[in-house]
Amino acid sequence: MTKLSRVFGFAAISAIIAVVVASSSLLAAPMKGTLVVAVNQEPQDLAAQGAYKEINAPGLRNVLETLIAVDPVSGEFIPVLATDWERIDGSTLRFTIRDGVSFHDGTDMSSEAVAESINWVWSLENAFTIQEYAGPGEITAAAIDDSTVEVRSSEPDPLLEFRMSLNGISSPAQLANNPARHFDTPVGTGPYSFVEWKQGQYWSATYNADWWGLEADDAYGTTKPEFADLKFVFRSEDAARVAMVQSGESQLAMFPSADECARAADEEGYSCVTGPSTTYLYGRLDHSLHADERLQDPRIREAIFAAIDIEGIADLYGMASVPQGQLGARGTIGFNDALQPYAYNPERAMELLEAAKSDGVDVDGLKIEVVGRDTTPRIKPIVEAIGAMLGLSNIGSDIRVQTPAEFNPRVRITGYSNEPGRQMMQVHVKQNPSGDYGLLLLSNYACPNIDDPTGPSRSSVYCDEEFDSQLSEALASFGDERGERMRELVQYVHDRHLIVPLALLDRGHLVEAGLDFTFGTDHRIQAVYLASAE
Amino acid sequence: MAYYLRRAGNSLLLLLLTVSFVFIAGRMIGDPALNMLGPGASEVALEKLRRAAGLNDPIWLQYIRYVGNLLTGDFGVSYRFGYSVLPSEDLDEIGQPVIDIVIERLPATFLLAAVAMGVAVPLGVLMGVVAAAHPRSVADRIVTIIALAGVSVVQFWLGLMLIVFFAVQLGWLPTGGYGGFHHVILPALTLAARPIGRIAQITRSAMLDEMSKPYVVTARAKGVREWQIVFVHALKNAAVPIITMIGDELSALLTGAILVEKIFAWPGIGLLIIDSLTRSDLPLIQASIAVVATLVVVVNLMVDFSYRLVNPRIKLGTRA
Repeated sequence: MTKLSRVFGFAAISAIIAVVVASSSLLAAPMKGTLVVAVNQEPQDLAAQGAYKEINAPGLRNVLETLIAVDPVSGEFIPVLATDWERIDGSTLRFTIRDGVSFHDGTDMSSEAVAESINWVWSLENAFTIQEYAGPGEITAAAIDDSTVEVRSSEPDPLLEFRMSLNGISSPAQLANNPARHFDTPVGTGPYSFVEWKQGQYWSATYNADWWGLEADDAYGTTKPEFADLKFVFRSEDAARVAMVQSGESQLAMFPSADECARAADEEGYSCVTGPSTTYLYGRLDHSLHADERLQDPRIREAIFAAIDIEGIADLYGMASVPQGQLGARGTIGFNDALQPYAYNPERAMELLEAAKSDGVDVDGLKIEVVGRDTTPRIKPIVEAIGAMLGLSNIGSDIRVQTPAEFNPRVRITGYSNEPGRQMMQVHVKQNPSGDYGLLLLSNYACPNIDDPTGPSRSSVYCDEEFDSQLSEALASFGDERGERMRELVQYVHDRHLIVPLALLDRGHLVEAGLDFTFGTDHRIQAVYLASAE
Repeated sequence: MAYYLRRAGNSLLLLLLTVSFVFIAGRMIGDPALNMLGPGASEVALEKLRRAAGLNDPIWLQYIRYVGNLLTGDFGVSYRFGYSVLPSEDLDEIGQPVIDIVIERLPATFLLAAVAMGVAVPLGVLMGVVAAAHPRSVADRIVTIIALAGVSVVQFWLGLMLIVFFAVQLGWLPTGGYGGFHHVILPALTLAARPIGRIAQITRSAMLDEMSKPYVVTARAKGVREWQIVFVHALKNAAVPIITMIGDELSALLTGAILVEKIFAWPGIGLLIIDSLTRSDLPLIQASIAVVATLVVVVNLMVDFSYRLVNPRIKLGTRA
């Protein structure tokens, strides 16, 4: 073999290797173009803390990942950036972080980086809105060694795993070098890396060819995202989002109204996929604190609840079902299977009022102020319907729909303490995503402290020291004991007619035919859970 | 010249009143910090925002600072991105100046208004002229009906119908968004409906008035061609009310495109105002409204000044 032929031979082999490598990388690359999702609102920002709630920043979990996540199908915790985790004690979790993961800015996801990111998100000093899901204690994290991060709560916290499934892990290098960009340029570890945010229009991301999930055997979702790019387009009008799917501009429209979704799905080529959320519509009656004395009479409260046709309200809301007499779904720790929705019984309502009247209670002067916030969908017909239902049972009412600026202060103790003798039923939505009743019971039924207007029970209108004592014990308990204690407390508050659960809201998405979309109760839009139908 | 100076002075006073009203209203609808961060915000976060934004200062001090800053073109920094978290001493460097956000949106608003008026003015004037040139004819009746429909139609409904027809059914145009020229067509048509109607109505009325004047009879007697009478003589004399109406409609487009921008996700200043109101981003609300108010004032001044251009016999600022 001559020198020249050896050179040609080497070149040929190199070319073949190059073609094979190129082909394999092409095969591994996403096959489709851009996944365009029409979302209902523009994010407030794209900071790591916002990843805790999908509605904060739809799609952000494609860029920012968490240590662990909730599997959308099983509801179980699954590994993401942590390969393993163990509970050391009631207030400590130890995570083994995944090896060889890099942030999109090229820096390593070391244990120090993870700890720093967690501390940033949960910092009391920063006081991000994720604190609404904070537990009884302050959360801090520390790197134990190169691959271990320990997360501690200053108080025993049975839901620490849940809280760790919320916070996005972002690059500490960005925080150190360019903190302002943390809020509009997320740098995470996810299957897609952030590209741009055109304010008022869309934000976009592109496939991350270095994503750890392509090689890990325990990665979540399809592990082979099908789309080269993601684009989340902001369209606040329901009809416009639906039209985007119908015109082929978008493959998925987030949260269209029940009517729009059903109407579009009547045509071939689209499907309206719905699923339960963790959001409830409820009516909270003023009770013991600063309320009209008549509302402390249990007969009056029961009469008011008996006058409300809960099934009718759920129908009126659309894309909703009747909750089982509590603000939690089956599977929630403390779910009480024995409870039923408050029965609609106007005759019973009038009997109770008559009994109270014969004992000298001025029931004729009752005028329940039924108030909703104008940001709640369909709130006007709902409060009007409740007012009309109360009227059928001879209960006076005053209907109001208020702006957040008017409504929000009235919900907090510093606001309603200024309205002595109030007879208000606040009709609002509330989420219970934690899979546990602890936070919900604390925020709705524990005695609020007027001197601590930011305390966890700042929005409670109820105060019962016996209940608070039992709740403290329940919050500190674990396992079956916790479930049993919570169940008893759920029964306790149900029997006192303080909050009437009106509807468990379903959420829907209009999806282009040929696309399978898997989502959980948090309705997260993650490309790894969107795949071509078989 | 005195008239122009007086008009400019009045306009500045109007602007001062507008920005003052926005300043006061922004503080009357509740605690700006609570509105921005929401009811779930902790007292720590609220206090940080209040301190960083100077909201703890007496209201008169805030007002003086606000007006003083406006005079130097400083509208402040958006509350939106980490305002409550980032070190307040660095905010001027790392915060997003609201005036930059507003200016970034202006080209979209100008483009939309220009295309809408580019359609509305020639079409409205032509329709009005045709109707006035043939009073009580079929053409006149058709123009009257179209003009009435344009004035009466609900923009929200019209926008959605155009989306359904042109984007969903025919697939010719996008449902919304911002990009190439084809993106502007549907929102501009939606926005143009009302000005077409109003300009056609006022043109018809002004032209009918002119066409009954003796100089038109004289021109006809002299054998001047009808199109010359209509387009050269009568239309020129009828121009003042038409220009006034165009100015009004242009002002309305700049301030009233909010709904259309929302339906079509057109990233103009109207959508920005909605977003800033939704997020209670007070500096951005103040800056957006101040800029829109300035635009309206400028448009009205231009209309005033244009009267003499189209009809030099007009004496501005003189009482009859």
